[in-house]
Amino acid sequence: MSQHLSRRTVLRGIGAGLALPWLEAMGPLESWVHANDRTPAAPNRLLWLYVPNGMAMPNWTPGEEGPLRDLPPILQEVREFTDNINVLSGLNSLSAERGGGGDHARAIATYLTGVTPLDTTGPNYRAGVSADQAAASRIGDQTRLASLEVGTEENTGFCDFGYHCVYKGTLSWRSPTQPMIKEVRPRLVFDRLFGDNVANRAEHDALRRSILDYVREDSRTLASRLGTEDRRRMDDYLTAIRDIEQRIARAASFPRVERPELAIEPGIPRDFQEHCRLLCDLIVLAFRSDITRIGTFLLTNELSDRAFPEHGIRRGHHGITHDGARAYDELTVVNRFHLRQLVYLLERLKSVREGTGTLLDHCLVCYGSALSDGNGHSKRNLPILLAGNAGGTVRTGRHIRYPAGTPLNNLWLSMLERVDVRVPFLGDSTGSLRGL
Amino acid sequence: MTCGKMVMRLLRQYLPCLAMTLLVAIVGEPCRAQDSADVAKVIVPFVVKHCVKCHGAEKPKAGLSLHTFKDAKGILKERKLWDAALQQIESGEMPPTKQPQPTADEKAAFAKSVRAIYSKADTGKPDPGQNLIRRLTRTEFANTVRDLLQLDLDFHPEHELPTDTVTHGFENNAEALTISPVLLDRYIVAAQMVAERAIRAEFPKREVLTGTDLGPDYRGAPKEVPAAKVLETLTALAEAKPKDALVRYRLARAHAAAYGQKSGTVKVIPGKESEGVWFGFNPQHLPFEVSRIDDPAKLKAANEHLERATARYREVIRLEPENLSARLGLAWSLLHAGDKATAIAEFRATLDAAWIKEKELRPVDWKTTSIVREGTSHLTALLDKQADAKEIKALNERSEQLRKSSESSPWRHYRLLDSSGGLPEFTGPLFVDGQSRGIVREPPVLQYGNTDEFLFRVTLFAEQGSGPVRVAVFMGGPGLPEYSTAEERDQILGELKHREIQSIKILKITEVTARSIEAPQQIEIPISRRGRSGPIGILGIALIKPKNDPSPIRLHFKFEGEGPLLPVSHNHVLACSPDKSQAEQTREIIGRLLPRAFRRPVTKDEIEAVAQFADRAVANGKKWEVGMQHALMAMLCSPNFLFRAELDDRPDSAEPHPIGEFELASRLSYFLWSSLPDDELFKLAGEKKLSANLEAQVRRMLKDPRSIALVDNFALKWLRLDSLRTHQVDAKLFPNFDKDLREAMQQETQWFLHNMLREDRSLLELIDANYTFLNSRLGNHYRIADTLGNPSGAKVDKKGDPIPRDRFVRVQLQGSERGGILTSASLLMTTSPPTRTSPVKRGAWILENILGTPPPPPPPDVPELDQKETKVTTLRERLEQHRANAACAGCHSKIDPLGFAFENYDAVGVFRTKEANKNIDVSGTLPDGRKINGMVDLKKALLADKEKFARHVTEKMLTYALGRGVEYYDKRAIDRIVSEVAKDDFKFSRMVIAIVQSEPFRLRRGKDQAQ
Repeated sequence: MSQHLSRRTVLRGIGAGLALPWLEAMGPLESWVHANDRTPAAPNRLLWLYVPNGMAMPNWTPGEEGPLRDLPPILQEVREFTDNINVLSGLNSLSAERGGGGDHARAIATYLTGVTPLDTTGPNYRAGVSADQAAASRIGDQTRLASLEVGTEENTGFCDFGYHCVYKGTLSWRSPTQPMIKEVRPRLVFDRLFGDNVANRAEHDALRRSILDYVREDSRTLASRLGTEDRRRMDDYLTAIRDIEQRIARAASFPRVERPELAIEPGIPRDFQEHCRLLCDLIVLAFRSDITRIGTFLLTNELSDRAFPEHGIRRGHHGITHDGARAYDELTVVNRFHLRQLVYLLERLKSVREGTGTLLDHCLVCYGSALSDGNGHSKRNLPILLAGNAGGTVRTGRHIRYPAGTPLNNLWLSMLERVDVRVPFLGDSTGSLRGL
Repeated sequence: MTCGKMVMRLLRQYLPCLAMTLLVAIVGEPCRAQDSADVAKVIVPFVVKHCVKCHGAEKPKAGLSLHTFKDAKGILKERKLWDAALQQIESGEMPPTKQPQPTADEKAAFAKSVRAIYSKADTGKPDPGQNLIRRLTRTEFANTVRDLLQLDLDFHPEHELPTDTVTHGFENNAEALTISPVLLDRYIVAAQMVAERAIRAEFPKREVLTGTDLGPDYRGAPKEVPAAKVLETLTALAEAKPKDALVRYRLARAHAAAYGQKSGTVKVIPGKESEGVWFGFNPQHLPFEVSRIDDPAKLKAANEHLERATARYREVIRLEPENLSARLGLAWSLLHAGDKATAIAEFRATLDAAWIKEKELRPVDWKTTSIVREGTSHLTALLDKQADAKEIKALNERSEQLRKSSESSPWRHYRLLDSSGGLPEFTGPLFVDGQSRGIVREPPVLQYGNTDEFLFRVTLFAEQGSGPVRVAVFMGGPGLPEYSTAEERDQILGELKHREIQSIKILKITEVTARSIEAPQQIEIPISRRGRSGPIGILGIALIKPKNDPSPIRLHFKFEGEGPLLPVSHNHVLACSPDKSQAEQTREIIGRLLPRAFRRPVTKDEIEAVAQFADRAVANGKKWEVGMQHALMAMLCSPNFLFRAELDDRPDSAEPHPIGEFELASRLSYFLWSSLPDDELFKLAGEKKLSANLEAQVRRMLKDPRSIALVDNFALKWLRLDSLRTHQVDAKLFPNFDKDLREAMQQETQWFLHNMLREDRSLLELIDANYTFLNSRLGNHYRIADTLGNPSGAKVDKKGDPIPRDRFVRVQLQGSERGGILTSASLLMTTSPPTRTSPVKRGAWILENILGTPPPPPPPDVPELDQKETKVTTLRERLEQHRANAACAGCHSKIDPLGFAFENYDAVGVFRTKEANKNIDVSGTLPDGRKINGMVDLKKALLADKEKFARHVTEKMLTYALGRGVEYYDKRAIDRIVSEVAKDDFKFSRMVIAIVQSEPFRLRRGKDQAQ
């Protein structure tokens, strides 16, 4: 029996105490799925799970199009969920092809943005608005948090050639110059979701508001004494103050979310899988309590060279990919291990009842990498798996092959439509994806 | 030949800048007539004629496009690249031989024009660059609040804050230090945490703790709880935290209790839950007492249950009838070692009176001690003083048996120290008799946990012949801010060699005048957490050597603790004049703190705005202390605190002008300490005397313990050693590697670097030094036995002091195996993959971090070295194959020889001469033709160009000091710094002094002159 069962039990026990706020208090929601339905409808959620360094593609891609049968070795891991997923082949991140070295950094920075990032190691880094943030900026005000960004590795260590360290560890870009720095420490994620443990919320908010008032005044006085350049930088600060004030005000209008009595230890869990699963649990808690509807999770940073000795993989992940086909066996072990984390997440999503179905039915979880063949740093024919049917708007259980040259960003447009966000284009998209 | 090696090497580094240059060229700007004429007349035609065929717009070789350079500024911005180009053109390396060659005159004219641009730039007016307003980094925030409020070093508000992004190699880059809503939110949370930590709104109830109760479990009285209830709770807890060793043992005890306790209850000693992951085995954390299980059936059932409960752990805990009997099983087992053993198994636990009687033990109170010691966790047993050498031997044998019989059990490395050889520790009884000769030979020591501030109280009296009796009260442990010197310790009576007495700080020396138990004397010392980065190891008392008095001394004493006390920060922050009104007190306190928090003088209005928070809280019926917490929180959220803003009466003036004294104080303190200016800097700035005293202040600051920040935030980041924390090592190949070794490696480097600052050593010692700092764990790893650097196991003429286990000491190095950063385990390990060494990674590390010339990225589609399929065996042969490929050779001929020189060190830094039973070949040829054979030659080669190394360090340190990337206009400052450093024997202090005296550090300007 899994040694994690018990902790999950603990979490489940806690989760049970959480009200599903949109069902109880919020009345019918305008969801594009059931806009005319009389029953309260659950909203859709979008989540991106990212894995680095590409995939052992021959062990990933199903042989034929159509219904998922005869799963290749890596996809064997998700066999229990065959009916809940689609495998998409033929999608490309062509904007990541421009430029010299630094393929890993460029690939991940392009992945959700469809924009070629600026190749710089300086602070003038620049990418595009990522798909999740495009959604967050439009529907984020309907929830306590606009979006949630998590991962397991901080943006330190070796960074890709010619690119700022921020690229390799960032999926989400609020604007081309504002990377959303992910949180890797589960306890801080928890605190972000459920706020601080305060006895008297009203008093706490009042204190915050008065501090923000003071701080705003102080900033104005300070700014008046600064040069033009510095004054401009202070604007960020004033914006942040306003943002928090609005959030406090908005939070008052949302139904109260009970903070689960969950003791998460500070720091980073020593066991990697434990770390991944804890973050999955937190995402599920966030989705089920409608704290946010948008999330990104970097299973590990792009270019990660993590070894998995507990699974017999003693060399680093990145190193293995550069052995090409000769090391597909080893790479497959890593790819399968990563995919098991998705399976865990799907299990958890499926275990949550929502409306007449489960939470998974109102999700679209995109699992994938910005590289296909890691050795050649190929950004074509990317390994992409889409789980959930977004309230029945996606037909699942299929392997779909798209024509050569189809931009990956077309998929993002289609995902955004499922949360009622319609944008004419995103990065290098050419239109939404057909056939979902 | 495909392309110039030099250019290729520079390519990656400058490609981004080239892109910017292109923009400049398009936007354009009016150039000065002379420059543009030269560029247009000489340089551009030369480039067009000889370079752009390969290095033009279309598929530029090595990605280098020279056609974009149209003016002097563009050339200056890419000065390094042009230096390289110039060098290659003059040496004839470029254009390639198969291309048409320029004439000598053409070359000379070209070189002259380029140099003319340089010299003009070098004599113009200085440009200090822009100093942007910046947020405190999370590290700076934590250091600043700790120093401002005198919070203890164990408090880490930075853990509440997201990590800062590394830019230009460091976290303190001004441009990157912006603020987002998420970030501001976290800073507010952190500010609240800090305020509540610094000021206590509720005063703790003080309790007196006597010796036996001291430790983290002291609060509250033991109580009886139904065993089943405990079992239930702990099972849930243990399953929730399966990795927590503490829980594991509690579970084990609970199971045992449930099956063993006839009464059906368990005695629970209330205590603090251990937080985080817990290693080792510490009896203080065992809250249960378990009775003996005599019924074999019950024992069997308990064992089965335990086995099930612990099946997921690697170690299955087996119960023996004996080891249940005392609070710690081992002690009981030891009791059975010999018929006459009179030891008692007393671990801060009560033993029932009947049992003590049965064993004919004397009451616990008056007793000397011997100890049982475990490798890492101070497992201590008390033995009756009657235990003689024979008994101790028997106990040791029993302990050894236990060790052998249960390799995986927690009690692995017990060794009894007898009273003649080691230092007995004093753990529980309150009074200690003198030895038969009337002299306390070894200072008894009190084990103490890491709790809040408390008062350490010694009650004592002496019996003696003549002369005054003096005692020293001391503290020991691994994380003390400072330790007593050997001379100071030498005052203590008795044996000084024992390692625990080597790592102590004498807190107080005082005379004992009390002479009877009826009228004892008391010594009280407040023990603070401030300034300490770890738990207290020991607290103790020792006799000071009597002067010329051979008469025996008999000392009786007992220890008490009283606490918790109000933290130092509380008293520090709220110190004020008692006779003032509350509102005035508020303003007095804020008036004192606010200028320090804002790092400049403040206005009355600013004080008033903060004081309002306290007033409002009090008006709302809150305690004044709560109000002060709110005021403090506001202060810490203010942009004046959270940002480093440089106030300037002409902020937009493009003319470089000196920064103010307070701004200079902040630049200094955040550079050297990552914290706010201290009293002295603040005072000097107020008197406008700081800029006149820069050198003296830098020297003072480098010697200050706070300069460790420069090691952690600058040096370790520069050398990329911060990856040590997360570096993976293959456990099968390197079974000796563990977290203690990892920690020791990191500490060695920190000690070495910090010593470089504090003792003002030469920077060149980074490359080679004849000393280092080791604890015994790392000493074993390096096979170094003592402080004179004698190899382990070798017969030597002169022995040094043993290397302590729990502390780092300076070790003189012999031979050439170790010395400097290159041969430190931390570097050797972090430049290796988990399973083997990587000459390529190590070579690249040298190029990037020592020489400042990082290699370009490997092209895609190049397989990593494969261990299976090739016929060749050694790594060198595999790399040679690799180099046979022309595409690889260009770079690898530079990287590999440097890396091979490291091959005598394996992937965790152990020295070796053979790999796979073959002698390791460490020879290689450097690109300039020099042959090197191993590390000694490599170091020599690196030291041959000292200025090149110094230049690279300067560029890095200037980047860190300014919090911005080094720009072309910094070259003049860098040249000057390097030459000053070279003139002063490459002293570390000189580099810092030259940097803080440089124009970029002392001047500021408004918007970019160059725009």
